[in-house]
Amino acid sequence: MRRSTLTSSAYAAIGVAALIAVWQAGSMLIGNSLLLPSPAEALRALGTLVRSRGFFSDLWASTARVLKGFALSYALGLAFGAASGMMRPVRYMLSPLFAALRTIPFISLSVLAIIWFPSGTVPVFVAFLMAFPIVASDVSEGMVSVDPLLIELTKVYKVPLRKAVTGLYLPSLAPHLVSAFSQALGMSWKIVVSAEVLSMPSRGIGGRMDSARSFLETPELFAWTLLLVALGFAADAALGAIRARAFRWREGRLWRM
Amino acid sequence: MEDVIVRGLGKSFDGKPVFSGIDMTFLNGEVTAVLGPSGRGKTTLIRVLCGLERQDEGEVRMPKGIGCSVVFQEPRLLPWLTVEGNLRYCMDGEGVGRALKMLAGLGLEGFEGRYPAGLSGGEQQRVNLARALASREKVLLMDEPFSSIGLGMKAELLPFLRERTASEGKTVVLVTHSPMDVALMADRFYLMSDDGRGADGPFEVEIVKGGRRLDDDGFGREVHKLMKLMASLGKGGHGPDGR
Repeated sequence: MRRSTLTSSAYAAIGVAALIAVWQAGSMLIGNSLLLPSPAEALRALGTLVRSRGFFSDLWASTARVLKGFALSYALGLAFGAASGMMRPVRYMLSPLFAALRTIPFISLSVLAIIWFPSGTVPVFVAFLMAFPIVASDVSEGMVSVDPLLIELTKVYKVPLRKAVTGLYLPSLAPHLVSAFSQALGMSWKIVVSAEVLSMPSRGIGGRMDSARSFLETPELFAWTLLLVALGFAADAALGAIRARAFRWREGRLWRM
Repeated sequence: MEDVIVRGLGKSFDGKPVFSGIDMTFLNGEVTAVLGPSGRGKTTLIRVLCGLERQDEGEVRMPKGIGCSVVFQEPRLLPWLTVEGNLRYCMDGEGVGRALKMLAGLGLEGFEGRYPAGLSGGEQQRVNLARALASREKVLLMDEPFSSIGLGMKAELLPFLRERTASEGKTVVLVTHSPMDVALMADRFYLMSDDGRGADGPFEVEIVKGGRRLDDDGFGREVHKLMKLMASLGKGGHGPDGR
């Protein structure tokens, strides 16, 4: 177990190094920081950015929108996903809605939302609509995939409902809940920042990126992007740690069966 | 009386009969085997008896207030729970204590904290057995419970199981394709016929009540007779020792 995590993170480090090398080579080749700043310039810009006025309130404004959109999509996705997983008619009724939400470009939703809502609400609404079907279909899939043999076992031994929920259904759903969590959170970040660029709320990362674009502050654009990537990495790492703890029972599966 | 009586039982899937017209009596305190090659609806019979499936015809007369415990063909353990957690999932209160004792009786003492993934197939199957045996239900249904258990273990395990179930006054139905299981454990047996018309027997083939020990002189002869009986039925005949 231990050795395999070491090698996998070593490979990840090699991957990151390769990306940075390509980036560095590209910036040297182009030789114009307005088009493609070097990694060092982007890092320097990030340093300036963190010290700049309003940085934390912009960061927080976006984070709050992400959390709102994510929480809404996760809560409703959980409810709708569970319902559609348990009841076939609900599943069939919801599937066109989910299919539609999956194919609608987020731009058309954002443009509509700008007409309907104040600028600060637009990113929350769009993030909710984009992340909701991901959570709902993941949870619904999880409900359907609960092992029928174990459901029969539960029936034959007359296991009480409360025990069945905590002992069978929640653990069966856990991998789906975790994957829905990380996917919905990642999606919410992407959508919130993009929607902010369009709806221009007074505070937020999207607005800052848009003004960086209009002033041709390319290094600052890169700095914001780096920051978002770092946030994503941190969230994934935290989730990975939780996952490793929650799924300890899977250990041993490899060498004994 | 805690006998389980089956009359004219029939079941079909999508219009195709799995079996029909089955008459069987499972006496209390005895192990009744249902012997037959695979694909004759033995598992379906167990599923009808425990209520997971509904029959299309006939009836199952189960004594009032009596429930079933089942040893499934697959271990059916919850992979995220330890062995003890698995027993606790299906039992409560003093049932857990009984199950843990049964676990020790089946040679799995000290396995309580292990996860199913860390057990061999035979070990998982013994947890499945412990779970069913610890149940207070008077009817014990076993669906090919020993297919992943080796002969040496069987020779020890089956007489032990026989003794336990007899002393607790259980009605045991043992569904199997193995004449050896029948000889080691059963008091009586039925044979599932191959034409879907149900079961035959009891037969003239004498099997020793209470099951034989592996080192009994007659064990091999008994197994041989059972095998011949199965083979003759497979050809559609009734066999030299038929009723």
